[in-house]
Amino acid sequence: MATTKGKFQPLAYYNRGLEAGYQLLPFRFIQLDDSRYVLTNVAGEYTVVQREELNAFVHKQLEPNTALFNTLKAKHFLMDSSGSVALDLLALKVRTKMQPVANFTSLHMFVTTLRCDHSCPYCQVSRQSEDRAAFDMSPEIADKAIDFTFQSPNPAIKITPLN
Amino acid sequence: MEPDSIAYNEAGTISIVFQAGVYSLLAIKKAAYKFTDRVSVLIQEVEAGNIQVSFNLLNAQEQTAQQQIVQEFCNEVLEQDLRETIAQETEATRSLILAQAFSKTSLLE
Repeated sequence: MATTKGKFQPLAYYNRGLEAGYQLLPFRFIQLDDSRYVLTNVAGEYTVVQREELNAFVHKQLEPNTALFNTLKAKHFLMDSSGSVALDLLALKVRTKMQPVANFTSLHMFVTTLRCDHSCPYCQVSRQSEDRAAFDMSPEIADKAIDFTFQSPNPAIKITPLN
Repeated sequence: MEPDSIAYNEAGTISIVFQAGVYSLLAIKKAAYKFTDRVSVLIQEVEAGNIQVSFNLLNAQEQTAQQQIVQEFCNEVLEQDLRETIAQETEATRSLILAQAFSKTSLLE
């Protein structure tokens, strides 16, 4: 019987590059209890590891293709030499999570005066009598406030007067 | 930690000397800040650039409790040192990710 070429490459082919080790991706950690630590990263992923595992991870002693290695890789705590996809994916996740920040705020609240004869319970502006014009916003400040508002990269801007 | 680098004196002050080059001043300061609810801390540079940390416990404690605080502090310095290692190693990657994340260019293009 003639030898046919297999559909898949041998296992060593897919493990190539793993010997080159791995690179840490930015993360933070905090102690959870006597032996465990919570690891978090910029994309909001988290995982819980033992103290020894954390040390082994940071000091590049993790064996590739172990359960912990694969978890840390899947959650973007480490990147191996199999390509820069991990970095792009992590950036994409951060980008999605930070979208409101990138666009800055859309809501701009202007306190143009404190003169008000109401006492609405929801209003955080202190109440001044009708003759207390000292706290009125000057036209110069109002112009600057408008300029500042339109510096926002957000395509949808909402301006709310608070008084 | 070498036993002779930790000293308990009669006035209730505990001193720990950290070797320069092994622990960073930043890691020691960060660890010290975390303990300010329990101890007052004085950090000084001593001979050979070593860092001496002196504690005064805010509440009088038994010696076993003092030893526990010393152990916790030394572990905390180690953790802060590990955080620095991670921060240094990932600084370039973090900048790259944030630059890419906040770039106005679509990642899919």
